[in-house]
Amino acid sequence: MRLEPIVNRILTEDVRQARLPHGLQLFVGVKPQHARTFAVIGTEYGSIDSAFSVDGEERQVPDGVAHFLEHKLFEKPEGDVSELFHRRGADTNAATSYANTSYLFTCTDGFEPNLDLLVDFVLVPHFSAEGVAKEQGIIAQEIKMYQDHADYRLYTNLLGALFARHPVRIDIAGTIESISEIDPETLYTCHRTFYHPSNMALVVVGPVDPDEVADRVAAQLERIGFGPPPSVERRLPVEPLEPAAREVVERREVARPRVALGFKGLPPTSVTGPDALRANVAFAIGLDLALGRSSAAHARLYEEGVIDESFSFSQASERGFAFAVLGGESDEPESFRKALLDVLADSLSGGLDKKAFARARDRYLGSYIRSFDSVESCAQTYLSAHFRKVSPFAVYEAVESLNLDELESVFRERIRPEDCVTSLILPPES
Amino acid sequence: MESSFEFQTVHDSGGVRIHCLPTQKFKGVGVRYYFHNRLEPDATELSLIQSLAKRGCEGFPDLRSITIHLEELYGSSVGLNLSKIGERNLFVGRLSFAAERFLPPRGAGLTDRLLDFFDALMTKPVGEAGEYRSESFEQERLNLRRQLEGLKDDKDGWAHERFLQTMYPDEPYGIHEYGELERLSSLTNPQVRTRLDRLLTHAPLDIYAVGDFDVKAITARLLAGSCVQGPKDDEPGPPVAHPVRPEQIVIEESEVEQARLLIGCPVDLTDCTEKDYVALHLYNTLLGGGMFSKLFRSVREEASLAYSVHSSLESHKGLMMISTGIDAEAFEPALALIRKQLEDMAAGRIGADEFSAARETVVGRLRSVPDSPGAWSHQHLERMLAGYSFALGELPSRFAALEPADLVAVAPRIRCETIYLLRSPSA
Repeated sequence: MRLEPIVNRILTEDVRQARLPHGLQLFVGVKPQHARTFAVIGTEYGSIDSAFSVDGEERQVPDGVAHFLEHKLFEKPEGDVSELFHRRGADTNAATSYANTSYLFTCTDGFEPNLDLLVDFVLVPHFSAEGVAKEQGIIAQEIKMYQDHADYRLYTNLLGALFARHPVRIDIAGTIESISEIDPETLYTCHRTFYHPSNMALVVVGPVDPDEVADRVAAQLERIGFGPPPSVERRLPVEPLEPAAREVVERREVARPRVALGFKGLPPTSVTGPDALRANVAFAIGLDLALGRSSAAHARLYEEGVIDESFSFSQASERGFAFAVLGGESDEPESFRKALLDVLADSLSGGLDKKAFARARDRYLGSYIRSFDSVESCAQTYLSAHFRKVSPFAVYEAVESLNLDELESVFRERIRPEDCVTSLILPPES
Repeated sequence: MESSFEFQTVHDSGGVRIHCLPTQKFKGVGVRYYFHNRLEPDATELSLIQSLAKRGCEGFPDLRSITIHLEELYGSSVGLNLSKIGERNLFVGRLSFAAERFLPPRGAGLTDRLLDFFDALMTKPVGEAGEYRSESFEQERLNLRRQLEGLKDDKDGWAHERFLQTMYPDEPYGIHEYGELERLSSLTNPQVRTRLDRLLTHAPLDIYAVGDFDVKAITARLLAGSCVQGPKDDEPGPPVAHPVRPEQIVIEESEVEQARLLIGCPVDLTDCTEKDYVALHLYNTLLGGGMFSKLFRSVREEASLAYSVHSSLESHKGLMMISTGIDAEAFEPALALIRKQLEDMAAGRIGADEFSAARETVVGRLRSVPDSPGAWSHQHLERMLAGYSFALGELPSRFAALEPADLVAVAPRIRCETIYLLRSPSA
C-alpha cells in the first residue's frame, strides 16, 4: 500500500499517512537514524465520555470506566500482554486523559510482532468477572496514592469547584465507589462503542518501512474483522457559565499553604480544526506573555516574594470545557490571589507586550523544532493533530502567522477574572 | 538497528574531560557539564549556588533578562541541578538548543552565544566583593528552606528521604543532595560565594556534547570557557563502606492515605567483575524492573496489594531498594511476599519466560539510550564512574550472554537490611 506524504519543507520530517480498512487512520514517521521505534494507537474516548447513546440505546456508565478499561485490556486468557511485550524487549504503557485513551510500545528489535500484538490486544477485548474484581483492588491503591499528593488534591478540588456538571470535574480514575460498580458488561459496551477502528488512529515513528507497516496492519484488520461503525452520540450536560463554587478549602498536613486560581473559559464552539488549534496556541502564548518568566509581572512578583519556584500555570480545553489554572505555594494566599488578578486585569486591558510577543513566538518555534528529536514526542504530536483534525505541522504554521489581536481576543474568552475560583490546601488548624 | 557510535574523549587533562559525539541525527544540540563534588552537608551551599545563578550574572542582571535572552536564542534552555551518584553530588549544567542549520539566518552564532552566556552564568553572578546580591541571597535561602520543609508534603519523596536517613545515619549517602535545614540557617552569603569559587576551581569536570557540530571547533570553544579553568583537583573518591548490620524494621507515622513500604538491601560490590555488574542489573530488572517482574506479578497482579511496586539498583554505593504503596494492614503479607521473591531469586526459582522478558527489556532499554542525548551522556558517565571499560554498544551482548545461574551467583551479594514503613497514625 502506498502512503501519502505529508509535506513539511522546513522540518524535513518524512511523514506519511493512509486510511486503512475499517477506517483506521495510520501515520508513519520514518527516522532511519534512530535505534528505537515507537508505536501508539489511540481512541477518541476518555474519562468525560460517561454518557452516550450507541445505536439508539442510551447509556450512563460509572465514572472511571475509560481508565478501568485501559487497565483491563492488558489482561488476556493467556496472560498479561505487557509480559509478552517485555519478553520481546519492548516497553509498553497506556494512558487515559479527559478525551482520549492511548496504548503504546517502544522497541529496538522485533518491531513487527510487537506491532501485531499492540493492534490485537487493543482491538480484541477479553474481560472476566474475576479480572474486574482484582483490578478494583489495584486501582483503589492508585487512587489512594494520588490522594496523598497535595498538588493533585489542590487541582482536583479546583476542577470540582469550577464545574458544576461537566464530567471533567471528576477524577479520571473515578472514585473507589464508582469503580466498584464496573462489571464486564460495562467494559464490553464501552469497547464496542469507542474502539471501532474508525474512531482510532495508529502512529508509528522510527526506522521502519511505511509501506510494509501499512500492509501488515491492513491485513491484520481484515483478519480480525469488524462490523460497520456503531452510531455514537456523546452526551455532555449543559454546563453553566458560572463556577459551581467560588472557593474550596481542604486542610491536610502540608508545610506551606498551596493555592490555585481557576478560570473557566467560555466552552469552545469547536475543539477541532485549524481555528481551535490557533486559539489554543494563542492562549498558551498569551498566558506566557502575561505571567511567564520573561514577563515584567513574573519578575516583580518573584522579587516581592509573592511567587517563587513553585509557581506554575497551565490550561486545557476539550469537548465542552476550557479552563486555566495558576498556582503555587504561598504563606499569604489572599495576597497571591489579589496580585495575580491584578496582573490578569492589566493584560486584559491591552497590557500584552508586542516585542515580547515576537520573542515568545521564536521560543515556541525553537522548542517545537527540538521536540522532533524524540520518537515519542513526534508520535504524540501526530496523534494529537489527528484527533484535533489538523495537519501534524499545523503548529508551525499557526505560530508563524499568529497576531496579537487574536491572542487578546482568546485571552478575553478564557480569562474572566470576575469568575475566578480559589482552591486552597491549608495546614491543619492548630 | 545497532548504534555503532560512542563518545570520543577528545580532551582529558587538568581535571577536565570533554566527550563529543557529533551526529546529524538530532535537530537539537545537547551539552552537559558535570562538576564532581563529594556528597557532604555542604550540598546546602551547592543547592543555593544553583538557585542563585538564575538571579543574574554579568550582562543579564536578573531572572527576567536571563529568560528574555534565552527566548531570543530560540528558546534555548539552560538548567542547573544536583544529581546524586553514589556519594558524589554532581552539579549539573544542561544546555539544549536548536542546531543552527534549522534556524533562519538570524540564528547564526547561536552556539557561541549560548556557551558565552553559560560561562557568565556560572562564573560572574551579580554581587560585589565576594558576595551575592544580598536581597537575592536572602530570598533564595528562604526558598530553599521552604523547599526542604516541603519535602514532607510529597509522601513518596518523604518516605524515601526518611528511609535513606534511617539506613545511612552515619554515611554521606544519607544526605539529601539539596542539603540540610539545620545548616541553612547559619549559612552566610560569603560562605556560599566562596563555595562557588571552590566548585569552579577545584571540582573535576566532565563535559558532554551531542549533536550537529564541528568537534575541533566546539572543543576549542569549550576549553576556552571560564568555567573550565582551574586545577580541578578535588577528586571525590569512592563511597565509604557500609557496615554489615542486622535487619531492622522501622515504622514511622505521618498523615497518609496509603502506607509506603521501602526495603533497603545493601549490595556488596567487593571484587565485583564486569560480569557481576551486568548480572546485578539483570537481577534487579527481573526482581522489580517492570510489569513482568517477580514483584509486580506477585504483589500487584496476584495479591492485588499494590498499584506500584518496583526495585531499583544503585551500583555505585551498592543499594538495591524495593518500594511499594499498600494499605497499612497489608504490611505483613506484602513483606512476606517480597521476601519470598528474594528467596526465589537466590534459590534459582527463575522461569524461562520471566528471565527472557527481563533480559530483553534491559537490552531494549540499552539500545534505546542513543535516541536521547541526555541519557546517552549520563550512561557514559555512570559506566566511567563505575570503572568499567566496555562501550555502550557492547553491553547488549553482555546481557544476552547471561544465564539464570549468573543471577543466582550474585544473589549472596544482596542482603535485606532496612525495612521502613511510613503509615497513618490511625492505621
